[in-house]
Amino acid sequence: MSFRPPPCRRVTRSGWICWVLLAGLALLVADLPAAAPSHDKPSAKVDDPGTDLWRFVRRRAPELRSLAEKGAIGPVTTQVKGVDTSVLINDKGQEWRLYRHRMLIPISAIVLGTVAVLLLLLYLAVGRRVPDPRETGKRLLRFVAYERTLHWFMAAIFLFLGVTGLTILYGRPLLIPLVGKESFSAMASASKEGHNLFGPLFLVSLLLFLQRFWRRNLYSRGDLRWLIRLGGLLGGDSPPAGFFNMGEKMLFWLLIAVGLLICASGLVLLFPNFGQGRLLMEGAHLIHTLGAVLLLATIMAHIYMGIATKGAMDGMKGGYVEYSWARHHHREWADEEEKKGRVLSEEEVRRRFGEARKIGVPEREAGT
Amino acid sequence: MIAQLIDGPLWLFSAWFFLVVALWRLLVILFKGRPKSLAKPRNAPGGALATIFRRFLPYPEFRKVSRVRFWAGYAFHVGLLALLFFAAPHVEFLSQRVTGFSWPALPHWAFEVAAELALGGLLFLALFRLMDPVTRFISSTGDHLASWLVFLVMLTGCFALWRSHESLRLLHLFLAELLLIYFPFSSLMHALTFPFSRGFTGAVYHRKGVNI
Amino acid sequence: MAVNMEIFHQFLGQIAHLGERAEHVDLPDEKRVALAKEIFHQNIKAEQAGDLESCMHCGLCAEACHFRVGTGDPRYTPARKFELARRVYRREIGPFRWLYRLVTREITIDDLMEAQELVFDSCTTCGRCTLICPMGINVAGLVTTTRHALANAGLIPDDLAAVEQEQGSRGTVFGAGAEHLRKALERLAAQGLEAPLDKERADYLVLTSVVDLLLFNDQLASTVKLFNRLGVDWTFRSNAYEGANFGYLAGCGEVQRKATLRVIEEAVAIGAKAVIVPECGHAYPALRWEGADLYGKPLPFDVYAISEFLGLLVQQGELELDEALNGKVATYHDPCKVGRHSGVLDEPRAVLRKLGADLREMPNHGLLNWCCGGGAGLFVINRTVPLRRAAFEIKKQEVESTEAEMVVMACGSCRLNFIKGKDEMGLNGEIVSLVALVGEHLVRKSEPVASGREE
Repeated sequence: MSFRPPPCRRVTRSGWICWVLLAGLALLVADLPAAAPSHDKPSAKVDDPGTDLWRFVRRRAPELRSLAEKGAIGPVTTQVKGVDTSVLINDKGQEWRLYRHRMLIPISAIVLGTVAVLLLLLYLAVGRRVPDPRETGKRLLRFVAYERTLHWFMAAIFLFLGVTGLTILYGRPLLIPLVGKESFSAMASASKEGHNLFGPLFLVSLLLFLQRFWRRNLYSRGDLRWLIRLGGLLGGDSPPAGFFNMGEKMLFWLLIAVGLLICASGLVLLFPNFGQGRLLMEGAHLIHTLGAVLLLATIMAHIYMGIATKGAMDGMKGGYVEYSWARHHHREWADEEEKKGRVLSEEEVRRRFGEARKIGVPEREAGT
Repeated sequence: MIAQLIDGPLWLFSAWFFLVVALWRLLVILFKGRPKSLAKPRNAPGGALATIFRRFLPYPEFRKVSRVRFWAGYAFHVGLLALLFFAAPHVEFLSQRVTGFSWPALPHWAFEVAAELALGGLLFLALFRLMDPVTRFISSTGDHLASWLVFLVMLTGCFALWRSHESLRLLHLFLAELLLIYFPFSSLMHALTFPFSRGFTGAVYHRKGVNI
Repeated sequence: MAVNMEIFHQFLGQIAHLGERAEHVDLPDEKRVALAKEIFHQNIKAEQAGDLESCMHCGLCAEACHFRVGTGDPRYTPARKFELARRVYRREIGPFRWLYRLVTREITIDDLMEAQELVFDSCTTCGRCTLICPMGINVAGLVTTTRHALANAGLIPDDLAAVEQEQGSRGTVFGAGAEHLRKALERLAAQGLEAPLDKERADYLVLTSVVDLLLFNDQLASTVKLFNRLGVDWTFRSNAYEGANFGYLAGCGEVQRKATLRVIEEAVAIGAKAVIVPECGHAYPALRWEGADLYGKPLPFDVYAISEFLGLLVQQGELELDEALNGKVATYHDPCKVGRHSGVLDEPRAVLRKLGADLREMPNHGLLNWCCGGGAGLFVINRTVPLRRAAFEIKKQEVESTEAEMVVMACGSCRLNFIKGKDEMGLNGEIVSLVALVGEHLVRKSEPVASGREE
């Protein structure tokens, strides 16, 4: 046979379009205003005793205590002892509220929306034309039942937390106009309770995930090369990869790291009875939301990749993948499995799902 | 109107329905009778109770293969029993509408832990039933329906925590009433029949000199 | 103690053609379904009803079944093996059957045929699944009921049906009858082993089986040696020598009853105090646990499996054995029907220890042992060969993990299956019968034995 495979092209035309769009988004994001307007305006040059009073009323306990130590003011005490009990008005709360409404909510919505649009463009440019894996009649066992269950367990919890979390975040601007205040009240309450209860379950799923998959996600030689070529996403041959490619490994560690951050901040928010002050709570809220938005965007991309990469979903549904798919996307792993004699026939896989033909039972004659 | 229906007649109907039908099923099993064996026994009659309790733990040889179902199963069952009978809102509900007397409830944090165990355990098991080739093959529609219905009841219960909204509480109660009606016709009856299946088998084997 | 492999292969050849001899009954499909249902109506009482109500398809039983684990095929999950019983129960016997009839499909002949494969081909009623079931469902009991139902419907697999029909009509098995017993005993007598036959009265009625007569002569010889050595009053009876009960195996109640009553009536006639069942798995429960119910009253004699009897003798100091095994590494394969189903677990091990063996247990032994895959009549059903091979692979790994020089067993069916398995798939270790081993190591007494016969 004298067939020669066509030469490999590095990046296709549609690939270039996507790179340009990504660069454009980066520039757009970089151009946004950096922070909320500061409340530290230069004081008006009017001698008004009321101004001083309000300044003191707004001050936080540590500032008042240090002033008291310097002798500028008398001792500061409160009858109820606790964090922030000497604070009468906290203007940081107002800062936070404005930041949340003017920055966090709109920008996170833009980020999530942009990622969704980019994924759609990617699908139109490249994803639509991804062919089904070549049918070889051979299969490899990629994920066992426990691993698949764990994945969907985490996915279900994550999606639930995402929906309830987004309800809490975007409910007021987005949902109240749609369903009215009363219905939203019930939805928001339900979302809060659901979100609070499932949060610790997400932590459990993260830890189980870490225990099961950490070894397969350690860096190995060739991963960087895979990353530079984006795994052949924008055209060209898929560079060799092991059980997990660099993209998956990065997702895994990002999920673990950011997930743990989200869980930690979530626990701070969930149990405010350990002396957390308002500042800490706001900080936790910020980390929680930013982390969640980052993960949501990443998982959107993960879901897209799982659906668009034809043949990938088989691994997470039934556990078995087409041999040609494995050789294309995870060549090193496929070769290892072959060496260990673990390549299965399609018939064997069908048998494992109960679809085997009956064993030699002769056909009964009609009427006997 | 719907609220009054769910809180009133439907609750009464579903509770009585469950009691009557479940009891009927159990009595029908018992009244089928057991043929007396004339073979010389190795052990004096007994063994039923021992097997009922022994079967709560797997044999060491089976620990590895039953690990997932063991841990998720117990997380779910223990969590469910704890929250069903000892969560404060349930204690209040049952003591007012069923028993007439009250009993100590779990502190709220324990209720939340129980709820998490129950929800996490059941979610894991319901998904495992779909993922494992054996359970996927042998499970009927009823098995899946039972898993997800119980999950929904618990989930809506979680939404209605702190009773901030009457609508959420009623949704939870409504689903629980549906579950009570469905329960006696489903594989959930194993919750009530397991002493019989374990006990009879234990007695039969004990008679032959085998303690299982 | 080597088995004559030529005769073994001839025996296999005979089995290969069994199905041709089966008589078929022409029945319309609806009649077969009705006949099958009759048995379910008769047999499903509180015990089985409780079991059928309790299965929630957790799938754990699949992990304990040698056929399911060996093949990886979920069709052989034990919970599926009583699915037919469950549907009949739901639709026709249990509470709210009128409701279930609306939502459950009627039983058809296809359901019976599917059940045939499940309960005859892929189940040895070993009972291991019952041990893992969190609900404690007695699967073996439900499978046995289903076998009876299918037998009533004329749907026993041909190979097994042929043997059952032969035993039912002619009282012989594999063409071997009382003549073969006489000839076998004559051969033993020629070697100096006299065995009493057809004594009018005796304390012990000893049974044997056609497999011992045709193939496992060492078991027969050792049995004779043993009873002569014990000096007890014992006999074979040419009217009732067969321990195997193919009616029991095939689920044919009438033939089971006939074969059992033959033994019981003979034992009563000679005033036996005990009946000794040979190394044959199902023969023991057929007589020990079901005999009295078929007889209609408690049996006036004790029933012992030979392995049980040997163990009791050793434990009671009544049997003298040399310790010539001298630390030879041995492992014991428990026959399911005698071990897990009947509690004879310690006795055979006592014998091996008395013989001086270094007993190394398999990872799954005693109550939890893996079935060899050849029992419950499967050895004669030719189409089960792939299933039996898959099951034997598990047993092979178990045995070889002990690094034993010999694997000892006390069941002819297991021994047949092991020999076939070793022949086709290889197995490290010698396959040894317990009673044959004992026969080789009986310590000589200085005085002649009480019955006047010498070895």
